[in-house]
Order: sequence, then structure tokens, then C-alpha cells
Amino acid sequence: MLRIITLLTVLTLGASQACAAGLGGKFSPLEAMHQTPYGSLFFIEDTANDFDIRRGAIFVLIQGDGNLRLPTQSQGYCFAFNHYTITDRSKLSKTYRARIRKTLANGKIKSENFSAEFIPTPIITSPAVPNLCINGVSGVTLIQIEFNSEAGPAFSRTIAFSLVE
Amino acid sequence: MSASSAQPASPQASIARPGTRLRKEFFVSTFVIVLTVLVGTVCIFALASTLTQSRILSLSFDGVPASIWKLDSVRQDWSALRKQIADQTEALKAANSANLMLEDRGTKAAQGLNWAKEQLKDTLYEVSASLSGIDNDLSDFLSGSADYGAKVARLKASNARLRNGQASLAGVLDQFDKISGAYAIAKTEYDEYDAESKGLNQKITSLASGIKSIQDSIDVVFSKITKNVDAPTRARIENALYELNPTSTWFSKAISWFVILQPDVLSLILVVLMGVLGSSMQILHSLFRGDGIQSFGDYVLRLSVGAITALVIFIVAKAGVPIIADASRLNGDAPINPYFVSFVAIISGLMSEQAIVTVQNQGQRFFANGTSEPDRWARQDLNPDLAAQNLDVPTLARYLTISNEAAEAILKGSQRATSEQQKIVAIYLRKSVRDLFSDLPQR
Repeated sequence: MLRIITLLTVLTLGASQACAAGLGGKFSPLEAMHQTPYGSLFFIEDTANDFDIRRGAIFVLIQGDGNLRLPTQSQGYCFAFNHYTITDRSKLSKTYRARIRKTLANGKIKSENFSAEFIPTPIITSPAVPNLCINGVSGVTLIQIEFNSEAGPAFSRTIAFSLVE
Repeated sequence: MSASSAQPASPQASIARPGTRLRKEFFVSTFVIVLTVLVGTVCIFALASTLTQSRILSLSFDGVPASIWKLDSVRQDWSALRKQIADQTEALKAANSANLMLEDRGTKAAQGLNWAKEQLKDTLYEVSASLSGIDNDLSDFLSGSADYGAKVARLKASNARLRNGQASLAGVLDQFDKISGAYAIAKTEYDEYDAESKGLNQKITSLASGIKSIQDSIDVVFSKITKNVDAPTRARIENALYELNPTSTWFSKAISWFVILQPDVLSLILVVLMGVLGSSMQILHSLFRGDGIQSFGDYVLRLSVGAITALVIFIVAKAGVPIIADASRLNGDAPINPYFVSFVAIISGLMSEQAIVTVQNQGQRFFANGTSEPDRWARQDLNPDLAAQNLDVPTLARYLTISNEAAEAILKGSQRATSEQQKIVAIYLRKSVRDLFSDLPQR
């Protein structure tokens, strides 16, 4: 009996760990971000719009899938993928998609689909990173994002984060 | 009558003779000059080849002197491999050049496809929005994450049904047909480029690895000469092989033909050619001195004599017979100095008469009694010495196998004693040959 309880405890803890995403190291500038593995997902600190993503932006690595604790940013949140590669020289654009589910304070859920085309870059300083910026977060308590792309399974990620008013 | 009829013929003959002689002189002089130039040219090849061969043979690998035939065998393999490398490098250059040109095509094809894809994406969203409420399942599929190929295929499959059912969809479906057609063309263009590029890249990889593999094979070929093929050894071997390897020019081919001859044969060829050159010099000198033109056959004979004399002098000198001042330079296994050998051969041809006399003298001395020691006379009357030791003439005569009178004459110094006789007399009198005999007869 004790053995079963111990096993269940371990499994429950393991599962909760697997469902929790976390923030990792910070990378700046773009060259440093491009040194991370292909398909790495980042949260861009203090940035709410894609035109604000500059060379000196601070990219915070998102490890794993699941719930995430992000600093409060009233204007919005931006995420980016590392698509730097020297092996894919096709110059063909890849479609990056995201399904965004916003849970409002009244409990309603608002879904949005996003897609954009980006060409994997062999240029380490390229600022054209696949990114997703979410605005209009006022009155939103939870945001869930499902990423996927034809660039490969590394880009299939699911994260969620709560917004504290 | 006969005398008077012969008279008029004489002036005609005297007029015709100088013309014929001049023609003969001209042809013979031309022949001699052309021959000398030709012989000189061939001598240049032979001397240059001998020098090259000497230089190559002075190399040693792991303490073992190089062999010209072994090097030539390696050279043939090395040359074939180098040709393969040259061919593959040329092919690699062509492939890289083609790849560069293809790159431009690829960029254009990718741009076209990216643009068509963007258009298709927008159109599919438009169709998806139009289908909302009409065919929600298809609408969701078109806005979902399926790939464009699947979306286009499904929409095409439903095209006729949608057109029949909903006339309002005609505009957006027409747009889809147009854009999907453009996308298909762009995709085909890109796929063609991609296939070509992959084939070309595969070829480039294969050529590059082929070149690397051939370079490794060269090391294997070099290991026939030495097991330690380090960088300096490799450079030395390659230098030697480059000297052996003929280029496409006839000069290089001729030199190469000479260089790979067996070293002793090349030395003898050099000697004979230099002998002919010496004779040619002698003939030209006599022509310029105005000694007169001889017959064609005489010149050919002189050249032959020069060649044979040079060969004989070389053989005699190599045999160790002292016919030249510094015999050690040609003795036995002394390394061949091509310039010295050429000099000896040239003077042998140039002074062939003297050379023949020198060899004859050496031969006479050699064949006279099987030794080079000359006959000598007793320095003084040796009879008192004989008496002082209680020895007698008949016993000595018996040892010398000559008569008593002849033995008496040798002791008195009135008759020459051969080398053997000198030794027997010296032993009999217990003295040295040097003390008893002299090269000069007594007065």
C-alpha cells in the first residue's frame, strides 16, 4: 500500500513538472540568441510590438511546455523562435502558426489564429525572427498559445501564462 | 692524231672541274656543319639528361639510394593519379560554376514560390471565411494547420460541388483556381531547381571526396619508395618525379627518354656522342684551316673513329689503366662526373690518333710479359757478390732455365733481365731487385 502511495506521489510530481514551463537564460543580442538550438522559443522582455524587436532586445529562453510565469507587461507580450540554420539553404518561407486563447475576466474565452511566413536565415545577425506579439491584454486573465510550423516539430510548442491585474 | 684530238678536251675539263669541286665543297661543308649542329644538339640532351639522372640518383630514402627505374615506375602511377586529380578538379570547377549559376535560378524560383505561397495563403483564408456557415468543416480545415498541398487538394475536390451549390462562391473560387495554378507552376519550377541543385551538390561532394581519395592513393604509391612519407620526403619524391615526368613538349619528352635509360648505358651514350662531337670539332677545324675537302666517306669514317676511340678510352680508363693524368676520377666505382666524362670523350675524339697510340702503348706493355715491370740491366758486375757468398753461375743458370753464358751475361750487365729473372737473381743473391738492377744499361 505504502509502495503504491509513493509511486503515485512520484508520478503526480513528475507530471506536474512536465506540465510546467519555465524561463531559462537570457540572450542578447540577436547573435547570442541565434547560438541556441534551432527551434528554441523565447519571451522578449519589455517588448509589446514586433517593430520594437531590435538587435539589443533581451530574449528569455522558455523551457518546456505548460504554464509559465511572466512579468506583467500591460501593453502586451512578444515571443520569438530561433530559426537560424546553415543547413537549410532553400530560401523557402515557412508558415508559422499560432492559436491564441484568451480567457477574459468574465470567464469567456476568445480565440485568435495567427500565421506568418518567415524564411529560415543563415545570417546570424538577421533581425527577421519569427515572432508573435499579443496585444489587447486588458481584462484578460489567462493566455494560452499553441505554436506550430511547417519548419519542423521543434516549433510545436504550447504555453500558458496568467495575467495579474 | 690522238694527241691533237685530246688537246681541245683539256680546257673544257679544266673549266668544269672547279665548278664540280666548288659544289662538292659546298655540299660537304654544309653536311659537316649540319652534322655538327645535330651532334651538338643531341649532346646537349645527353649531357643534360646525365646531369639530371645523377642529381636524382644522389637522393636516398631511408638510407637506400634511389633507383631510376623504381622512380620511373612510381612516376607512371603518380602521373596517372595526377591526371585523374586534374580531370576531377576541372570537373569540380565546372560543377561549382554551374552551382553558382543555379544559385541565381534557385533564388528566383524560391522568391516566386514564396510569393505564390503568400498569395495562396491569403486566398485560402478568403475562401475559408467565405465558406464559414456554408461548409464549416471545410472552412476549419482551410484555416487549420494542414499543409498547403492538402488544403488545395481538398478544395479542388470540393470545387464543383461548391460552385453548383453556391453561386456567390464563384468569384473567390475563380481567384483560388488562378492562384493555385500560379502556385503549382512556381512549385514545379522550384522542385526542378531543387532536384538539379541536389544532383549537382551530390556531384560536387562526390568529386571532392574522389580527389581526396586519389590524394590518399598518391601516398600509397609513394610508400613504394619509403614507408615514412612525411612532408619533406614527399616534397623530395615529388621534385624527383617532376624531373622525370615529361610535359607535352618534344624537348621534355626527349630528356625524359634519356633520363630513364639505365645509368651505365646513358654514360656510354654520352661518351660516344661526345667522341663524335670531338671528331666533328676536329673536322671543322681542318676545314677552317683550309686543309681541303676530303671525301664524304672520310668524314663519316673520322666520326666513327672518334666515337669508338672515346668509348675505348673510357673503358680503358674505367679498367684502371693509367692513361689519363687523374685516373682516380674514372676508376672502378668512382661516381661519374658527366662534365669530366664529356671532356675525356671530346678530347678522345678530337685527338683520336694520339688516343689510339696511347692505348696501343698500354696494350704493348700489358701483353709483352703479362706485367707492367720493364726489363732491366745489372747495375754492376754481380760476379764478385756471387763469389763472396760461395755461389756459382751454373746453379743460377739452372734456376733461370737459361744457359750458363746467358746467366753470366746477365750478371755482368751486358744482357737485359726480365722481371722474373730479376726476382730470381735477387733471391739467389739475397738482395733486393732495386739494389741489383737498373733501367739504364751499363756503359
